[in-house]
Order: sequence, then C-alpha cells, then structure tokens
Amino acid sequence: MRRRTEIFVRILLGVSVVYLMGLLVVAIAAPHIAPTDPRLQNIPARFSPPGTAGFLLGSDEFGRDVFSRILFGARSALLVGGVSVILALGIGLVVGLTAGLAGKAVDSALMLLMDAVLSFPTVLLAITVVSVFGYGLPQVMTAIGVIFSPLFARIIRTETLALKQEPFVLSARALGTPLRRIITVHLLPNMLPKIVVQCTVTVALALVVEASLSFLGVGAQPPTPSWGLMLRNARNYLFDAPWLALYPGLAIGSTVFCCNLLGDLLGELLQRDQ
Amino acid sequence: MRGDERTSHHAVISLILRRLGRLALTVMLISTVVFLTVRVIPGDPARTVAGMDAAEPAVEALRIRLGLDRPLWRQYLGWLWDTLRLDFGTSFFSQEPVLDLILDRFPLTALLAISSFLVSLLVAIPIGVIAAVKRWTVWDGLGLMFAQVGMAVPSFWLAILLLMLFSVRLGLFPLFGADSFMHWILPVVTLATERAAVLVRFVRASMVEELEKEYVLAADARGLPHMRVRFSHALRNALMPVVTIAGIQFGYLLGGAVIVEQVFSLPGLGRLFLSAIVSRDFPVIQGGVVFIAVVFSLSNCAADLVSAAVNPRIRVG
Repeated sequence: MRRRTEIFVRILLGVSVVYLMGLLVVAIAAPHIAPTDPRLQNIPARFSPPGTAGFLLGSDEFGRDVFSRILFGARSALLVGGVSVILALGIGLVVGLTAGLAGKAVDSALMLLMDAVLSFPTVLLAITVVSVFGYGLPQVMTAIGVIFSPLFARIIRTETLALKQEPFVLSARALGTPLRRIITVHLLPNMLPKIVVQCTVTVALALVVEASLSFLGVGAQPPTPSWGLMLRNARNYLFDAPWLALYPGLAIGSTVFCCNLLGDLLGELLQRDQ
Repeated sequence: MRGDERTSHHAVISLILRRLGRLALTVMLISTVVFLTVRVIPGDPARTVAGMDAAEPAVEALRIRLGLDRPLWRQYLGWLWDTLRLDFGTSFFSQEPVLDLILDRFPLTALLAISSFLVSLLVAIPIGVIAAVKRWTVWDGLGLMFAQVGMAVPSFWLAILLLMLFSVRLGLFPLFGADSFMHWILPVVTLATERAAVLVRFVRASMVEELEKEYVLAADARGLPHMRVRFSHALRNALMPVVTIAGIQFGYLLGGAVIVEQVFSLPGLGRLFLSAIVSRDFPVIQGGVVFIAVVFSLSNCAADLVSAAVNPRIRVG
C-alpha cells in the first residue's frame, strides 16, 4: 500500500473507532445528555424546524424532540446490534465446532441446514419469523441472531477443520487433553481474530435489518425511540417536515459506515500479519 | 477429441442435476420450516381467521375445513404434496388462490429486480474495473468510497432522500405509484445503488487478482497495448467469478424490492407479503416464502450454470 493511502486509512480507522466509542457513551448516558424525555409529547410545538429554541434537530408530529429521540435511538440500535451478534456467535460456535469436530455426516447435515438459512433473502426471513412470533425488538433480535448464525458457523467450521490438522492440536489430542481444553486453549484463541472481524461486520448488518423491520412496522413499536421507526413516520411528512427523514437516516448510515469500515480494515490488517 | 467432448457433456449434465437436487432440498427444508413455525405459534390459526369473537362451533368447522384437526404428520405430508403442485391454498381473507395472487404481483417485482440488476451491473463493472486498473489512486479511492457509502445507506433512507429531492423539491418525478415509466426511475436507482455498492468490491477484487497474474505481466513485457491487455484479456477472466456473485445478488434484490415497494407504494410481491403478515394471512405467507425460495434458488442455480458455460475450468472440475 502506498504511503498516502496508508495515512488516509489510518485516519479513517481512528475516526470510526472514535465514532463508535462515542455512540456507546451516548447510548449509556442518554438520559443524562438528552435535553428532554424522548417520549414527551408537546402538541403545540409539533413540526418545529431544526434550530427552534429547545429543539436542536426539530420536533416530530407529536412535538417530541428529534435530537433526544436520536440519542435514545442509539440505545435500541446498539442493544439490537450487540444482543443479536452475541446470539449469532453463540449458535455459530456450537454449530461450527460440532460440524468441524464431529465427522463428515454431522458436518454435511449441519452445513446443509446453514446453507438453507443463507439461501433466503435476510430481510424477508426476518419478517417471516417476526410475523409468527410477534412484533417488537426482542423478537427482532432473536430473529437476526438466528438468521446470521450461519455466517459464524461457516467461519468457525472452516477454522476448526484447518486447526485440528495442526501439529499442536494433534499432539494435544495424543496426550489425552480433554476436548473442552482443546477447544478453549487451542482452537478458540486461534480463530479469535476472524471472529472479531465477523462480529464487527455483522453488527452493521444487524443494524440495517433492524432499521428495515422497524421501518416496515414489524420491528420496534411506538413509542420506542428507534431510528428505523422514526424514518417510517417521516415518510408521511416529506412535504411538511423533511428534517424528520434526514437525521435518523444519517445516524443509521454513519453507524453502519463505521462498523463496516472497522471490519474491513481489521480484516486487512490481519491478512497482512499472516 | 470426441471422448473429451463427451466427458465434458457428462460433467455439465451432472452439474445441472446436482444443482437441481440441492434446489429441491433447499425448497423442501424451507417449506418444512415454514410449516412448523406456523404451527408452533401460540394461538390457533382457525381462531385467528374466524375472529376473536366467533362462536366455538364456527371455529371448529373452520378447523376441519383448513385441515387443522388432522394429525400433524398427515398435515405435513399434505402440505408437502400441495407445495409440490404449487397449490398454496386460498387466502384467508380474499378467498382467492394464493398462487394467483402471487403471479398477479410477481411481474412488477421481477421487472423491478431485473432492471435494477442490469443498472447495478452497468454501474458496478466500470467503477470496479477502473478502481482496479488505477489502484491506489484517487479513482480507486472514489470507487471504494462509493462502495462503502452505498452499503451504509439503508435503501429505504436513500429512497426517501431521492423522493424528497427529486419529487418534492424539484418535482421531476411522481411521488408514489407505478403508472408510468417515470414512476420506475427512482425505485430502480434505489435498488441498483444498494447492489452496485456490493458488486463494485467484488469486481475490483477480482480484477486486481487477475491483473497480478503472470500472463498480464508477460503481455505487458511483450509490449502488447496496455489497455487492450486490461480490457480484453484480464477483464474477461475477472468477470467470471462476478457472474456467480451477481446471481446471489439478484436473489437479494427480491428481498430489497419488498422494502422499496413499500416506500414508493408499488403494488408488487413485497406489498402482498407485508399485508399478509400484518393480517396474519398464513396461506399467503407460506406460499410467498416458498415461492421466493424457489425463485432465489433458481437464480443462484442459473448463475452457476452461466459461470460453468463461460468458464470451462468449472465444467471439468
């Protein structure tokens, strides 16, 4: 890589790390930072444009403060991203390790199942699951976690298959090391970098799916402050209140952008190390 | 010579058979999952259809009519057999056959997906190729930036932004509906941007890999025209893996179309599916899922066959 590009990449990496850390702080400290309660309605002040006193980013159709709702929306977003990725990783670990260690028949059966999940458009699958189990963020998180678990299962399986042929794993097995120890000491630490990269990218995917479902009305339910839900309502006021559609989208876009960038650059760095 | 040809034909036929086998398996798995999920949900589908205040005998009659009183394994076999004949039953609400409802809406969604697919290829291939040929320059940076931004902007937000700018502010395009050619432009741009962003990265990666191969170096060393080596020799090879990826991307377009149809109020498959979900119209949901799974698998299958057709190495291997 040329030097100028290298510097540029480093700056981008720094910016996205700072952004994501900032977002985490905002999500945790939202009640202290937000000017008002995100659910507080103020009908006389509805559709105040951005910059009106007391409404930094304007107010919505119920006179709720858009800025406060975006800050609290960071909570929903990070909660969904975090929980669904942990769930996907959990399922992926169980399936991937089993497939990698249990032999050919189990391996083929599990991977066939994982491929079937992957062979369906994600958003549609999530909508279907949510339609059966009910609308709301908990259902959305579960659906996303299950749907994205094959992404982890595949990586973990491939890594397990490769690692179990390595001399250090073979000799540990020959010495009679218990399987649990082999997994925790020899397998997991060696596949950790790839898992971390996949986590970062999956958070971005999860955010987009959550926002899409909330936008379609089957995700977060009112009055939960969620960026996708805010855009859903904004669609009805394109003429009167265009700012309603601007800021929540910007919040989703920049968060996904930073997650993707972080994942890509981490992946690139790891590849160069090898 | 003829023997080779025959083995190659055998390989193609076995490839097709294997892909079709996988397709059947996937569709069966998906329909089994759909069958089971609809039946494990809390609440009685018959009760849902009849309404909460219906009398118990009416619900019981409906249960028998929908076949919900039979043992689970018989319901399952019946469901598989019906699915195989593409008979998804009738809608709980409009009483129309589900397949008719689907086929009624599918042309719009298919047209939206196909035109977006073509536009995304037309955008992504030149950007990806230029980025790869001019690696580590401003052009490359711009191409990668387009990819990153395109992937980060959710399609429904892009759709809203386009509507605000071109329909509300400038008044160039109609706001909602699907009545004229002008109605199609913004939805197609929205969907195509999302897919092109993903494709650019594949095209660039594939082209970069190709440019580093020895035959390119050799051709350059022998003094063949610089651009001809890139755009005629390397490009053709670089696009082969892209065909497979593009097939998968086409499947995702169907998923994306659901959202975009919603933003632009287009009466396609997505709207049918979504309203079925809101009203818990299970036959339509089941039929829709299986139908989309079949179309999605077929497009992946087609992509595999096309790449086998253009790339002899896959055929033999």
